[in-house]
Amino acid sequence: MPTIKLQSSDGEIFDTDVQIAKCSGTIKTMLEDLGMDEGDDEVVPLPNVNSAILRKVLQWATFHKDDPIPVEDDDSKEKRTDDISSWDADFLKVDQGTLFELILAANYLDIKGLLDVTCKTVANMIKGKTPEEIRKTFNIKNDFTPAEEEQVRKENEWCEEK
Amino acid sequence: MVSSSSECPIHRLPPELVFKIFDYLDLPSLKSVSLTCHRSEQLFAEYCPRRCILYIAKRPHVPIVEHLKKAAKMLLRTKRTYRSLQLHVAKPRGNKNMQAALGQLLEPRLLQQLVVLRLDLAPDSLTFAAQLSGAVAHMDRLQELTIRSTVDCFSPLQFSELRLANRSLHKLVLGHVWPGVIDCPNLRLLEATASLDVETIVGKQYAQHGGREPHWKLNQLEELVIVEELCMALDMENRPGYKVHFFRQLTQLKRLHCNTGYISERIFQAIGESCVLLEDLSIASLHLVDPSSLRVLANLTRLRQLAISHSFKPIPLATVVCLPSLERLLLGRVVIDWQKLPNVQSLQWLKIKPYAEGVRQLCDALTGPLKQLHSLWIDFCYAMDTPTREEILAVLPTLPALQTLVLQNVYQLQFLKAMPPLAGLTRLVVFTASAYEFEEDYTITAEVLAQLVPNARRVEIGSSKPLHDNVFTQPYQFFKSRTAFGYLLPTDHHSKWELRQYNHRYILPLR
Repeated sequence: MPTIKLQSSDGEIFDTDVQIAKCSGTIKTMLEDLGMDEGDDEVVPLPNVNSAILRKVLQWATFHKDDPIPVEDDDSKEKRTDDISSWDADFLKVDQGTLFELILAANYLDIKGLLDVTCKTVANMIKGKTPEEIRKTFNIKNDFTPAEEEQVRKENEWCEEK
Repeated sequence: MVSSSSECPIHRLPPELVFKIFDYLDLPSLKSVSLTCHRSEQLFAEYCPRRCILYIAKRPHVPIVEHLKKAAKMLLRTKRTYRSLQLHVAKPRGNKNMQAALGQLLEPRLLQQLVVLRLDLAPDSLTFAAQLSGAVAHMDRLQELTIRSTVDCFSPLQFSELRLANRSLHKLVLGHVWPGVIDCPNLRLLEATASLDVETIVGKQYAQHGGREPHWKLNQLEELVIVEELCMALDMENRPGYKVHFFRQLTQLKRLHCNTGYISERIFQAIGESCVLLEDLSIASLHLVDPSSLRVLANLTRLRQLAISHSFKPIPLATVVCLPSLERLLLGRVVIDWQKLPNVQSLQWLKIKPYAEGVRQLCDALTGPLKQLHSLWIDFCYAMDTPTREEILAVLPTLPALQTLVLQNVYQLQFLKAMPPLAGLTRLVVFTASAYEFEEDYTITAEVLAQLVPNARRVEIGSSKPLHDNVFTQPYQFFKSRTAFGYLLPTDHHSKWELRQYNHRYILPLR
């Protein structure tokens, strides 16, 4: 199995299957554009991802390496959040810091499947909650005066789905 | 990017990623988010135009004038940018206070930012029509304008005071409302109810002004959609000469949907000879005295979609064969010579409503080399007996590229058991669309589905009765009057299927 070396922001080297690394659009493009060959001992630096997060990302990519390539068609209009597989749900039972780092990493590395499922997970943490419950969940400080809050509430009444 | 003052991890994400999360949220949840803090409200305000419309409608127990004043006050204070506004205020009744309130609402700052405006006009809102004309002229960003009458009637409301002159407008929707002037040089799409009879009105203008168009300037149109409605215009073939004039001018047309009335031979000739850029032609009813006049279609070399719901005479498919770009052919109650079908090599999408007597021919045609056909929609006649239906299903495996199969008017899922397994199928849709009561049976087990469509990613079932069974355990939602829709998604390796509610937002286009 051909491998390549990925280097996290804190310097750790990850010997990774090329097939798994290519789940990342960013790495795939890098390999193709730079004409890096598998035999090369060159290291791909990933300055935006630390080793803990990269390890998680690679764990996800390893499990999902045989997934069909997600297609950007009409299906993408379907914004469901209740279709997270049980493996992913378990995988994402992490602290909030890690979850948001994963979103950033998935975005930077261009891994659509991981980005989707992490965003869905955050959405599920918000869905159906009151403003106070959301503040509590994400440690948001209420900086509205009661009058300001009332104005936003009133203005929201005029807003409807297109 | 990192805001040190906020500990909220959401606010550490760049806005585009926050909006991606917002995409997964329903509106009430989004509104809750906006109420958490200033930063969240700011993010929501930025995101809002993608999903929301400013909706100003009459509310029970609130005097409409008061209501409009409140809205105007809110708009004066808001920090949000609204790009879409829907005004649904029913009857302005020429009331002076009402006019003033509307005037307040249509203030320049709002007008300047509006991209979409939808509103209702009552029969006696003449002053408002004039007011609106002035406003529309000043909307520099307006792209889409919808004006509907508040009343349904056989003849449209005429507003000679309503002058629609705007340089940015791209799409205009008229429901029963007849403006005095349409002068929008960038207008590309017009959608009008059939009651307006746009073709005759404008055709008459051309005829009487020597090819010029003094009132409604439409010859730059690329898309024209005549919408079907319950109260159809009665006198369709009033002055066909005017309609011919009209279509002769529409040389830029790429999409033409006539969903009501019928197209006569003369009009069809005019379309075929003048609208040569057409890519999408949809006709509700075609009335050709001499079916060979269909040959004029050969002019439309760019035609990718052709839909004919009804024809008074059999359609010689031989003429369709010469359309090199045709990808989608959607046929209703139309008799055609099926033998020619395999010659339409470019065909990808086919909708048919087979007649019992033509089934043998149809089956032979389907076994021909339709190598590109990836979607097939069969609308079964209710009268067709089961063996005949099964005969059609039996030939489906010979279509090598078939991915989507739609079976309309199937009311017993047991019937599917007669279908040979279709390994290539990724989407199966089965539904009835009937007002009649039939013995419906929508029970089917996971094992049967796994056998029939082992690779399906979606199975959609629509019934006029509640869906139930071990597979259908969850509540369903009524969708489009009588039809209840649910769809099944395979869970791990098709051992189990889950019924999902059909939410309006989730419906995938099934053209």
